[in-house]
Order: sequence, then C-alpha cells, then structure tokens
Amino acid sequence: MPDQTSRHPVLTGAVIVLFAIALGFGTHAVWLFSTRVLSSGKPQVEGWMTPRHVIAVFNLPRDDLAPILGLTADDTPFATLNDLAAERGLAPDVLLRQVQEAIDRAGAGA
Amino acid sequence: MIAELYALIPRHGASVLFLAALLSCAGVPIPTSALMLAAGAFVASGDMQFLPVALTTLVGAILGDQIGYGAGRAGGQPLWDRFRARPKFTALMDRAHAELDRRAVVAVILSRFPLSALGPWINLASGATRIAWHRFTLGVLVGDTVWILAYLGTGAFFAHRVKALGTTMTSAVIALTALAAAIWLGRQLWVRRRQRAA
Repeated sequence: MPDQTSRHPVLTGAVIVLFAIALGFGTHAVWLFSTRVLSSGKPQVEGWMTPRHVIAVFNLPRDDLAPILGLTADDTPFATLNDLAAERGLAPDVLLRQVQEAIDRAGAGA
Repeated sequence: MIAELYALIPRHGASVLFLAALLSCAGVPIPTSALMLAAGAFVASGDMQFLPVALTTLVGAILGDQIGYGAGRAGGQPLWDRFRARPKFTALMDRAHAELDRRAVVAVILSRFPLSALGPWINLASGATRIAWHRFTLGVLVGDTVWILAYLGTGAFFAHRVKALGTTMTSAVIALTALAAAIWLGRQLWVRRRQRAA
C-alpha cells in the first residue's frame, strides 16, 4: 500500500501542525488557568477598574474607598480609577497607590 | 492594551460591546470575548445590568454575522469556485460543502462557541455555499446566545481574575479550534484513503 503522507504531504503536514498548535495552546491554557486564574495570590488594583469592582473584588469597605475617590453617600460612579484620578487632578499612579494602600490596610485583598 | 479596551466599557457602556461584537463577527479581529469577560465582572459588581448588556451584545453579534454571510453570498462564490477548480482541492471542498450543508445549524452554533475563531470563516462559507438564510440565522441565534452567556457568566464568576482569564480563554479557544480542524482534516484524509483502497 502506498504511503498516504507521500500523496498528500501538504494536508498531512497541516494536520500535524494543527495538532501541534492545539497541544501548545492547550498546555498554555491549562498552565495559565492553574497558575493565574486559580492562584491564591492577591490581584493588584489597576486603572481600568471601577470603584464598585474594587469594592467587590478586594472586599474593601466602601467607607475606606470613599475618601480617596471623593465618593458621596449615594453616588458610586461607573468610571475607571484612571478617569477618576484625572477628574481629581491626580496622576493615575498616585491614586492607584492610595487605593492599594487602603486595600492593604484593610487586609482584605481577595 | 487589553486594559485600555476594558476602560472603554465604563466610558461608553454597552455600546462598546455592540460595536465589538458586530465588527468581530463580521471578521475584524477584535477581542470581543475578553471584553465580555470584563463586562461580566462589571455585572457582578453591580456596575452594569445583565439583560441590557447581553441583549445589546447579541444584536451586534447577529448583525455582524449577517454582514459576513451577506459578503460570502455576494462575493464568496467566485472565490470558492476558484479554489474548487484546483484538482487538489475539488474533492475536499465538495465534501466540506456537503457537510456544511448537512449540518449547517450545528456547524454555525459550534463556530460561535467553543470554536469562536472559526465564526467569521463559517459566516463567509455559509454565504458562499448558499446555505439557507433561515438555517444560518437559527444557528447564529442559538450559537451567539450561548457564546455571550458563557463569557458574561464566566467573567462574573471569576471577576477577580478577569485579565488572566481573558488570556486563558484565548489560548483555550485557539487550542480547541486547531484540534477540531486537525480532526476534521485528518478524517477527510482517512476517508479519501479508504476510498482509494476500496
């Protein structure tokens, strides 16, 4: 019987390459999921996050965040920390550091 | 880069998801799945409402899919015929056409989730091979709904790891798509081999 790979070298090669891609990316996905998604390490606060997101993810009491972001009693804006920093005339890094310190003080990182 | 895209959601609301879904389903490479994970996280924290986000994204995705299908129908046929005219591809493409025609709804559903990377290509192929519009649209409706619910739900559940999850899901989708393509192509080779042996 003739060797099949010699008849369809391109298609056979494509199958091998596709399997290799599947194996590589599959391993990468499993590694990322186990080391990053299921990780017990504390996530860092980032500029795209919103006040409610920070409160929910880091279990930070709203009262601890309110003075830093200038939140009023019944207003928790749907805005990023970077945009809130700009509104308050602060550099994003400065505000993020203040929020991170509040999280660390509360000892409540997720 | 992805953080900049996430930041667009609080700035512009669900319209970002509408536009991203529309463009990505029409074939523009935009990380809509990652945006949906972030939107899920915003839903979990109470910044967004689930139903408006899901519906807005669904409408965008369906419109994008229809654009792809329409493009395939309008201009894909000559391209399909050109490839099919090459003797090496004729049998393979005829079999692909027959399978797509026989299992159009299932193929369209699976190409929304989990084989999302194939979605725009299946849209074009469906139009180019004249799959009936109502069968294509049924597959799109079911598939897009599953795709959106899966990503919004996962984003809400893993809200504290949404960025890491985006990278993980991208790798997983690429792996699954490559695996499915390898199995399909391998099966075509196997069938051809058996036909020759018979």
